[in-house]
Amino acid sequence: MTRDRCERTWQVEALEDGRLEDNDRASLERHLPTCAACTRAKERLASLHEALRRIPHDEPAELDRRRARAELLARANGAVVAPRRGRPWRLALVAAVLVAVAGLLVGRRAALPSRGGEAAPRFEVTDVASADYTTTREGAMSGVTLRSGRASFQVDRVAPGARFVVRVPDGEVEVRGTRFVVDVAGGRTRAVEVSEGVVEVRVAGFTGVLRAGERWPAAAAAASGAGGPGPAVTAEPSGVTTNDAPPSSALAAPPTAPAAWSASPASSTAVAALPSAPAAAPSAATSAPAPPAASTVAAAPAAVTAPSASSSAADGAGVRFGQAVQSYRAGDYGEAERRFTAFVRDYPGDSRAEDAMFLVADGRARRGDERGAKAAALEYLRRYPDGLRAPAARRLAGAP
Amino acid sequence: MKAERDVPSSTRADGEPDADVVARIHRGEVGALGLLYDRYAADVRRVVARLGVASADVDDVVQVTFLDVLAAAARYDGRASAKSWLVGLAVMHVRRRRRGLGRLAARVAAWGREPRPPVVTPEDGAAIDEEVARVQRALDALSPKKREVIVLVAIEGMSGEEAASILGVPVATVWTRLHHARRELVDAVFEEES
Repeated sequence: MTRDRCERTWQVEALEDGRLEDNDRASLERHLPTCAACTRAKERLASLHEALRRIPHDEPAELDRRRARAELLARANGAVVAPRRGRPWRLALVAAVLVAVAGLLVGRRAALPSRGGEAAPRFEVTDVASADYTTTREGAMSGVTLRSGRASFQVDRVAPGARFVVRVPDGEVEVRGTRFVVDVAGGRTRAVEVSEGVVEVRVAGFTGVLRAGERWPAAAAAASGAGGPGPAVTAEPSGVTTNDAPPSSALAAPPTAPAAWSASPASSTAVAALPSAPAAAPSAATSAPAPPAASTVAAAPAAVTAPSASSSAADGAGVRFGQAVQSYRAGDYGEAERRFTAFVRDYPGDSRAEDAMFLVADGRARRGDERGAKAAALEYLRRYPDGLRAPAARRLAGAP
Repeated sequence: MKAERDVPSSTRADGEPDADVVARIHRGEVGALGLLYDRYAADVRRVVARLGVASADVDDVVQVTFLDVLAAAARYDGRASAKSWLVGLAVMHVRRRRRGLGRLAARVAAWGREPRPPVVTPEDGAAIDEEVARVQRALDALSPKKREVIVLVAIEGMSGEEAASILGVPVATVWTRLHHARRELVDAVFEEES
């Protein structure tokens, strides 16, 4: 490295890397001031490192970062959640419930590996408002315990024998592959709203099935009495099957789920409703980690590289969100805002609604509409006080 | 050597440990992947760019790295930090990309078009002193293996052990490569000077 040599010069590098024993380090540090070669080597090394770190790397603009993030999540959604929707599928779903088959008939979506009763359903939980929840997974059963707040759920098709249950302080909501919102306050379930698919509700003495577009109001529950799991009350319009037996009493597939799950209301009441906890819910309280063999996610890699287009083609929300993002990308913020706003209105429980609301605020800022951006950012913060975009939204809102 | 290890990260304010976030991803929660992205995408992106991936391809490598997490989450044991685990996934993609012959051809074509590496944009250029430009050229001239250790240890400030685990080589190999890499860089940068 240098013209004037010293046999200890190699140690300079080891010193820099923290590889010298205490004795050697002390010795070298004494040697350094007396040796021009080593001093020079040390300076060059320092200067090299300093220059290396000054090499510029382009930081992406915030907008590009968000775009990349949205794209990632859309692709991941395509990989994790089986593409769904489409009329034939939905008809098959309703039919499946009517004949009291526990699982879903997936219809034409048979392309994805079917895992029988082994795999717990995959799902996505989105915190809509101060949701305090933990997720669990055990055998062929997965679920969420929602203690308080409002959360929306998107559940992959549930294989025969598998179950997905949302436990609330006063009961449970069982899912058969769908999208829905649950609202809990003060230890009571205020509402269950189903936007897609079918859900079975067993809450506060009420037992019944909700279909897309239907809602279970807490008022009905109160009226239907605190008689425990007694005679089922059908609060829904005609034709809806009301079960008082668990749905997994299937003809074809005997339930593989552990009985403890459905028979332990104690654990859901034990955690009674807490006043709106911070959003990032699952923490140390999260129960047993998923078994390593758990396989559903492991099945994803094959699908990972699949183009996201195929999933969003079957996905109305995905298409709508994609169109909005495209307008945004094209710089047409007015059109983007219309589309994002419509998206939030039509899919309030979708995991992308949060991004959509934020991008409305951001789009206004980009158009120079500061006041509008501020209003939209405040609106976002009201709905997602702990949202991932909250720091940026606070900046847009002009808050400290 | 502390480079950017101590850069405070406001994204961890919510306090959920990385291992829990990865466990949620393993359970299929896509939202948790977004959280991991918010925490580490900038780190991964910076490393990928510094490893010499063409700027047009950087974002693509970052995407596939995070998509990998869906499958790799099952293997994450929490021993390595999430950042270094992600960087490890990214390094694999960078290597794979480098091996692709099609890309090699594209790179050659790109070199034909632009005589200088495109990393430094003209408006930045003025602000960057000659020494940094020389270091950049010398870094670009390093072999991929040497570049990896320089980026991880000398620039990103990772420990030798961390780099060894990311690169899948013994620690001693990291130090040897680092030594040779530094010598090449020092020769190129400072001999040019004198």
